[in-house]
Amino acid sequence: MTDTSTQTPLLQIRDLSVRFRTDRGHVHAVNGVSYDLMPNETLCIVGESGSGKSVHALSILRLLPEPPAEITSGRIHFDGRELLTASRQTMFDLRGNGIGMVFQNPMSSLNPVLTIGRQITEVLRRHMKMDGRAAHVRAVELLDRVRIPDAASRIHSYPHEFSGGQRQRIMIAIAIACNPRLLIADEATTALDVTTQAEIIQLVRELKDEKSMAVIWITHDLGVVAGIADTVQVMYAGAIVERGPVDAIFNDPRSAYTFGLLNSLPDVSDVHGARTRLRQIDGMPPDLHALPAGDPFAPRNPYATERCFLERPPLRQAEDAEPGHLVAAWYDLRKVTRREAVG
Amino acid sequence: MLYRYLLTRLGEVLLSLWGAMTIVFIAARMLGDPVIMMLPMGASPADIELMRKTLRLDDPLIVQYLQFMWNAARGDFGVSFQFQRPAMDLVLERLPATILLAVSALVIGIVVGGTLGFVAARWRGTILAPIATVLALLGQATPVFWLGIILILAFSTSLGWLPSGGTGSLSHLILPSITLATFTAASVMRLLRSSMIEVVSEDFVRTAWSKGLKPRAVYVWHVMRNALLPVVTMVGILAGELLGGAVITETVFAWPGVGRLVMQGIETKDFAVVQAAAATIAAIYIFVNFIVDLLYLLIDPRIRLTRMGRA
Repeated sequence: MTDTSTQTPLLQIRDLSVRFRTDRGHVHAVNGVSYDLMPNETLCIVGESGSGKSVHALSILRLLPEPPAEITSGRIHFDGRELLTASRQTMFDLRGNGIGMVFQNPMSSLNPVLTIGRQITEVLRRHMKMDGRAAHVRAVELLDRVRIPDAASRIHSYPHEFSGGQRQRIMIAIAIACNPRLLIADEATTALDVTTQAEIIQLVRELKDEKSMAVIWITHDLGVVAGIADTVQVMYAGAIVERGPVDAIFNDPRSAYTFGLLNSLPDVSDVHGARTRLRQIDGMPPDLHALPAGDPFAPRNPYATERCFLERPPLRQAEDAEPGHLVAAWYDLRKVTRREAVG
Repeated sequence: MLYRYLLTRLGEVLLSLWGAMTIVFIAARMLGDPVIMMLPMGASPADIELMRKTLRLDDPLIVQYLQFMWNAARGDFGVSFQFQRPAMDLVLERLPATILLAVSALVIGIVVGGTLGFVAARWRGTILAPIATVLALLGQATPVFWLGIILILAFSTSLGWLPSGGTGSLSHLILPSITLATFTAASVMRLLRSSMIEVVSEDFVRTAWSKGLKPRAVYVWHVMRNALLPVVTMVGILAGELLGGAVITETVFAWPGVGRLVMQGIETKDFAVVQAAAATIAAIYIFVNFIVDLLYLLIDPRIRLTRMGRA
């Protein structure tokens, strides 16, 4: 684990698998995901669409519609409770209280016919057992905290009267209203322009310290990751392919997929002194209806060995890497890239 | 902003009324020579000519039109020849009965249909949903005249609990309003159900669940509150139709409303009555739609903005 201290993890996920029933059979969206999240840790989960990053997050709160979704195996342990076997009541009490969640599309994630004040006070009255007046006062404070100007009068406005960035701030205000121990942001800045994105990330960083929350930040944008993460976890085809401290992942990637993602980033600092065309990872994501026996990334991986096609690599400590830097690969990326550099 | 919007809408109401009256005028002139139809068979040409003169039907069409409009504006649609009284008075006399029946049918329809629709959407996947759906299908498929007769046979003829027709007491109202409410309830149920099922998968409903709200709060405040918008539109249209007089129901239950008056007017070719009734029904319809528009302002804040911005 990233943290060698004696702290107990806030969230422990073990061997989580989720599939969806479809007309064409089962889609295996999450396949044996295990990790720990420490209190106050910011974990960024990176991957392309279909990597299972959002599905796994929704299954923590049991927000997936079951059916068609089905959690086939695993344990999710949060703050002393086992969530996969928890009662409905326990989950209702946990959502928005112990765990707050912010979603991708701020334009459609707020109820269009209720005032934002109503949508914030709702959660306060539900979990903090506040009366109308106390909840109103607290809601104004929250709006003010997420830097909505003129909060006291804007609280009576409706979602369509705010910009996308402001709506995402309101979503964040709702998510943190009950001082959760964990905030899950699922592609929270994807729909926003870059400036707004940076403001939202800054806000979440401040709030994380203020409230001592842990944060799971789900994104497909590695650029965002550098600004916020303690730990990075790269997912592909519903499984973790690499995980480790943010610097280790950026400076010493061990999975060919992570390597490909990093290479596809535009390098604005231009350290290599040359303008190069953006590189992309060739090939298509795997068909999640029928996963291959081996490493799902092998068909797209130029460094794949024969074993990669036959046997699925386990996630284990990378050789000569920082403790807690885990990778699922049969090949040694350092050797092949070094050979490339030499040759 | 609000006043400007209301003024614009009021202007639209007047324009619609003018259009409706013009159609009434044209339709009446297209049905044939009213003089020949009004006089008994074998009336002498001199009598016909005299009648034409008294009714001023020998004037040029445009003069007739302006005269008609002027009279219509004052609520004067001529005298019913069979009752020998102003046609508008007859219609207005019948109007309270029609309104009473329409409003009770609407209330029953909205309450029953709304409940069934909510149940069918909320407990989708349980046995309750198909039961509610079958009830709605039955309600929509049953012909009104048949349902009316069956209810009379069951509750009046066989059981003797309720009167089979006429007015006078609350018990007279029960059977006709249930008959009339059946279709309304079925329509409300089906639309609310499908609208709610659509809203259930919206992002903001997932947000509501992620806040830990209980199912009742999620379904009432987030799902139904949004699903109501199309239902209000439809209820407006249904209300307009019901207030125009339910011809079949009023006939089956001998209910002295506008619908039955229209039937009598058509059967006896009493054009003044038909014109007056048609004009009244059109006016009610336009008025109800105006009310629905105002209701929309209340329930959808987005419309409050866009509509007023336009006005």
